Amino acid sequence: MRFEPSNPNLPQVKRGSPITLWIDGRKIAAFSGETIAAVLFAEGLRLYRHQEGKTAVSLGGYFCGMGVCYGCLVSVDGLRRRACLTQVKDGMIVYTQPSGYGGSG
Amino acid sequence: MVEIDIAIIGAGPAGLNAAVAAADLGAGVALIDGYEYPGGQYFRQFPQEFRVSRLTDRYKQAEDLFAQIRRPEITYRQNSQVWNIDSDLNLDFIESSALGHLKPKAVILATGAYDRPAAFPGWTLPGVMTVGAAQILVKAQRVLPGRKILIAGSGPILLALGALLVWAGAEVVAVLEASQAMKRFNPLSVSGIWGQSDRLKEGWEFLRTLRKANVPYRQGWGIRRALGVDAVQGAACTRLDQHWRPIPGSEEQITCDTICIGYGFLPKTALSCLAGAAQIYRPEQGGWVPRRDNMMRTTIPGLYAAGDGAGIGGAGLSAAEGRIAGTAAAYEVSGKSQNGPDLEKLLAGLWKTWDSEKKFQKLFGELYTPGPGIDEWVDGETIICRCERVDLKAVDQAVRMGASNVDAVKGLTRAGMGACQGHICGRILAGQIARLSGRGVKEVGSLSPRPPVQPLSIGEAAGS
Repeated sequence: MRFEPSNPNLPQVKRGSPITLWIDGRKIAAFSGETIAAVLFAEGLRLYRHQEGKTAVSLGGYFCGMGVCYGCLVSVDGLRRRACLTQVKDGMIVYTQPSGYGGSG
Repeated sequence: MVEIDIAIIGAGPAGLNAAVAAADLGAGVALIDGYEYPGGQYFRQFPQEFRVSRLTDRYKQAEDLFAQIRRPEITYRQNSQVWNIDSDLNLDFIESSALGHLKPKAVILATGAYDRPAAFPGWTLPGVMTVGAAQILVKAQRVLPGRKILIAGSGPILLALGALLVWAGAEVVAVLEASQAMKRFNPLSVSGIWGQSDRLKEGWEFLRTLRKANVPYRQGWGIRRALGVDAVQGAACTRLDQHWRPIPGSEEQITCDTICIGYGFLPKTALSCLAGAAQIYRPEQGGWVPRRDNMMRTTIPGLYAAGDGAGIGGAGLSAAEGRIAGTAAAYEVSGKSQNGPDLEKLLAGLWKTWDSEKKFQKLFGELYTPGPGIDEWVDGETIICRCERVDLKAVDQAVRMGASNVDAVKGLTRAGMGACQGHICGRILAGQIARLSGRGVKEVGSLSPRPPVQPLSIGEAAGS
């Protein structure tokens, strides 16, 4: 969830201009400069690349936040990208689940 | 077009300082960094599209360094990841799906580090992330990673994250520090503390913030398992003994939706291994690191390594090592002797800083190097290699079949072959193999990197 700090230790920040992108077929409002991972957190989406039948353990998710673990791989306009490093763009098409882009994970 | 004498890989504190030092001596420098903006993790910036109301001290420090690299001697390449290097210093990089190649006269590896994870049941549930991952969301994106957050790991960074989350308005349910070393610590008696008053002050402020917010800070505690079906819903935590082993009967359950873990840091040494640089085992510096002399030279001619990427030591040490490497490398590429009094004079002041920072590095290692118990938190179903879904049972089977080192277990199980190329599972795998086979962690070795050190598509590799 996005927050606006009211504590003087955290500088206030004005996010970039509003954009819209598609996530798993839904139109989502976001801001220029945000990473896909941040937008997913803001939307409450934490489970990437889930496989049916696997108990209690997802196949993917945001883990290291800095592009090392490749756990946050999502489909971005048909290509696999790390959500933690990729900034959202207006009209971007993102799928977090393999069923959305015909992959098997 | 500036001729490239020195390629510096990584634009964090070490790389930035190396670039400036080398350029000051007239060397042509390529500063190659895999991220969108320079600064690495320590000087992580806001996206350019965000407007910040005021600059923190660290941000001002960063801005100063960024200004110093804007000069004709330095060619800065962003979004460029080096995926291969050899002992002749041929290096390959990828920049926005286009391949690049360089063969400079010298290379300085300043690749930095990443949070060290530990494996425990449920660690792959959505909602479990590293301390650094949570910091990035909050600091650079102004997004909370969750509502009820448990922090578990070791080192002062836990306090920093706890305070950060309190300032951001999240509920921090507890901070669990595995090490008990600070309980016996007397700052006045330890030489490594001299000159570190800023760090001590900062740590004290964070602790005060947590106390005011009624956040429990427990030393000698760790996470036993993450609970939940499709995401984190809670955690089971235990007391740990001085070797980080869970104390039976001490388990408590904590309700939370997010667990941030961090047990120190691991250096990114893959490129130094690929180039053939000899490695030495230093657990207090993150494990296997390239062997270096006091000019940051590795055992490969022309190859230097500086900063956390060559051994965990913090930003102060990284800056000093960067300047030493940049200075020494500039001498080498200009044909001037590295053995003469001129270079010694230039380095004298830097070596003093280096000595002081090394003392702090040693102290840090004594306080926070994980105990052997860190490898005993797993059960048979626990995933060891996240990318390839290899659990402990499979690792155990491989060891029973006679695989006695990390590369052999990798060959039998595929652990370490996935997208992250062993960055996340490598140290965990070594610990498990050591434990299962009754050998030392040093004996079982580490994953041998192979190019590419991170994934390339077929199209990218073919240069299309």
